[in-house]
Amino acid sequence: MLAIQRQYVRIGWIRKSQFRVEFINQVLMDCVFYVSFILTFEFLFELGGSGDAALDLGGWTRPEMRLYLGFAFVSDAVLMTLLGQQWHFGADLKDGKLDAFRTKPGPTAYLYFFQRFSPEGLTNLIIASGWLTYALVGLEPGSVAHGWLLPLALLHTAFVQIFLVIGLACFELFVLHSGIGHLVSHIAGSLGERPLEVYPSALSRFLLFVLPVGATAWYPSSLLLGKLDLPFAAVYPLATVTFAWVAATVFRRGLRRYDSAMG
Amino acid sequence: MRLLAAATGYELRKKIQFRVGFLVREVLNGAVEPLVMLFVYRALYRSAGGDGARLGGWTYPEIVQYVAGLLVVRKLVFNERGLELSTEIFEGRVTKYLVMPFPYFVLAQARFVQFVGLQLVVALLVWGIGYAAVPEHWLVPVSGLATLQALALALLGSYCCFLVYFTINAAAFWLDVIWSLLVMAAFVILFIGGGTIPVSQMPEGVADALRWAFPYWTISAPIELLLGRIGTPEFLRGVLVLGGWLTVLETVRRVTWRRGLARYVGAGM
Amino acid sequence: MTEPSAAGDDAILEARGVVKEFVTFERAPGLRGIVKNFVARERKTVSALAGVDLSIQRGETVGLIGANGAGKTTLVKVLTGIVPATSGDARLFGVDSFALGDAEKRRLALVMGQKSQLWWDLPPIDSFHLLREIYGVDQAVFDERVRSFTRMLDVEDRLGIQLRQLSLGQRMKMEVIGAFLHDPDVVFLDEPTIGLDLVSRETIRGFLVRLSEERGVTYVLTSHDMEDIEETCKRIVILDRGTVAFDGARTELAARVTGLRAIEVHVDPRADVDLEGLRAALGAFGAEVQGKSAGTVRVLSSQEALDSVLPALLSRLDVRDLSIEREPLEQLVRSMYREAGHGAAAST
Repeated sequence: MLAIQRQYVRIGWIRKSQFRVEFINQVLMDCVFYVSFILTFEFLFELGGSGDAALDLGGWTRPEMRLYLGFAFVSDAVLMTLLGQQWHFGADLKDGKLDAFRTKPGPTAYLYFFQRFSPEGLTNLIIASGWLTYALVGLEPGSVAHGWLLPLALLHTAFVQIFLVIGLACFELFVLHSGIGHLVSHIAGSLGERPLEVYPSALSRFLLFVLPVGATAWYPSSLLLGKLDLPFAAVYPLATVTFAWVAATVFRRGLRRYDSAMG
Repeated sequence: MRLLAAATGYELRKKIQFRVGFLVREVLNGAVEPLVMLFVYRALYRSAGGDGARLGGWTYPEIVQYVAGLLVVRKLVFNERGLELSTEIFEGRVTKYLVMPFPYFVLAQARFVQFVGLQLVVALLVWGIGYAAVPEHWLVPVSGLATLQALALALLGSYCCFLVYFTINAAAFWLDVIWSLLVMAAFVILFIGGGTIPVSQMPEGVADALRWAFPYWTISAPIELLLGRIGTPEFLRGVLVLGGWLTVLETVRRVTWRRGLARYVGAGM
Repeated sequence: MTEPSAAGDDAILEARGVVKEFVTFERAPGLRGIVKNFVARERKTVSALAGVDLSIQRGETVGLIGANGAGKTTLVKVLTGIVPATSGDARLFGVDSFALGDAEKRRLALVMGQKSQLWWDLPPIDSFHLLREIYGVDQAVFDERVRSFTRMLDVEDRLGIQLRQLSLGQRMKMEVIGAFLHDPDVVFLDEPTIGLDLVSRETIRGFLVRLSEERGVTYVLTSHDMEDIEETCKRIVILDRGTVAFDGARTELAARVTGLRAIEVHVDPRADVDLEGLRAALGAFGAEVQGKSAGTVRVLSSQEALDSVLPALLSRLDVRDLSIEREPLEQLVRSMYREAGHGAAAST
């Protein structure tokens, strides 16, 4: 799989070298997304007047929220870098474009979803990491409880992001021609971009254990800031692994519903 | 006009071909972000002292009404997915229209008319569902006049959006891929128009500047009219600002289309 | 017509009673239809395959033909495991087609004339490199195959050009090369020559025949071009409305036309032709006047009767030109459809 991934990366760069303006546009597009998000929260905190602790969002102060957004951006950039093909899944299903992947050796989900490695996504990953670093540096000294967990937290974020894509793609498989996968992805993504504490507790639990978008930004940032109990922090990755297994299984079964644009 | 009506009917049929798709794309689209923001606002106001607290001139119940207005008004704002022009340029499908005895722009306008016609129904539906479900929190227009004024601003602004997206689509004459430009434009229009937080809740200097841009008069201003926060003088200013923008955008559209056509290679011929 | 071959030990592909159904939605015309469709759609089950039995042995070259909608592409999709059969049993290499493992997929290739499997905005060589990794082909073997296949198909100098910038013929040649890079045992080709010019079609056919002879590749070819089938396949399967209408050797099908000759006579378009008199005169020799268009009369005759039919034609018509050809397979397939009672569908 690593050899195939290497080729996907190579292809991604070749493709982008042919569409250079598009490369710049997409980097800019994600930057606009980041800026609009940052401004939204900066404007909201600004409503409380000066001082970082004047207002908070479910216990998240302005500097903590910056860290939270850093993880949300990194997580989004991972998605864009490796799994950009997911946005085409609904249309590709409709057009029967999974045919070629169904007959090739290797997991269909891997061959399909990873085929579009995005150099601009990687560029944005660097930008997002820059914001994450800025947010970490801007925190009060001592507020980062477990900084050494950062690499593990990032790996966990990428892992969950991959299986979220596969899990959400199942909606398209079961409700074809609907674009519902897009909608659910959008809902899940939006919910995950805000701290879980702002939601009712039932919804928070849903976002942690059923559709674990909470694992993409909330878990790693809470972990680093020491907001989590140790037992929960240690056991939670098991829930995401279970989700990954369920998502992969449902996707495999869902492929039975693929009708390949009846020919 | 008959041509416009026929083309509009055709576009409408395409739209409602798949039921779930229609529900997702036309009804639920644009509802997610405002609803999620409500949770954020609730947490924010809680930390500021509760519903009675006033932040940037808005209490929490007023923000809820603003979000309700957002759910309705956004339905009328022409979106970046409404045109297929760039695909038609890439695939050389514009060719068939170029030899027909009518300007291609009429077909694009038909898509706008179809959009408005359908989305007015959807907006009414969303308003009705919201009012039936949570009447005490829902936005009820302060007057019929305010409703008409809000509708006029939203539709004029929507046409500005249409012209922006048409022009970006026409950039496909020069560029291989333009979807990122469309998404970027949609982001910007939404944000500076008050699609995430009301413009009047932004810092004063920012808000003042944004009142010269058409997105504010397309999204935020119609809701504020419906809430009675602004009145006829502001409406008239909005009409002037939108009129200016329409002139500029239409000129840019014409120039872009004319120059683009000169580069058209009619792929696939 | 023969019974399908019995599955022997060497059966590489088997279908037993394969049925494939799709659910579609029907809409009544007009505005009422649109609204009605939106509220309550009318479901309709379409049967693409209605019980197909087929067994293909190692090394066989099979032509799959049939009118539009006969089920050719669906059968290929079921056999390759792209879609599952609604009922029945489809097996490739002895394994349920829909549950093929990586080992089986490494022995399989698929070329679809109407769907590119290579990356549209990349030069073919880059797609080939990716395929090399996916199929685990040794680098030296890969290089040799790319070199020899591109030479055979005359596209050596096109490897570095974006696929979308190649001509249709060059694109399809690249698709075929991509399919053969991992030396598959079975190759499915779904209309690989659709829309191609004569030279490209012949090059691809030559390539397929050569690989079949040299490597013993089994392939299943669907095509609307009967020449493709005649020149590359030894066995022919005719599908009609989701069932096998004919399954046998090409020679067996050809035997039906052996000895038959199609005569095309060009006459003065302004001249009156006594068709009834001509029919009667030629009928005496067992020949049949098939039709007349402006300036052309078509006659079908046995080879043996030509000595009598030709003088009769020359004496009765003011002949400007005349050609005699063996009746093409396409004509036979068309008449088979007609005999089966649905002539209009015979648009192969």
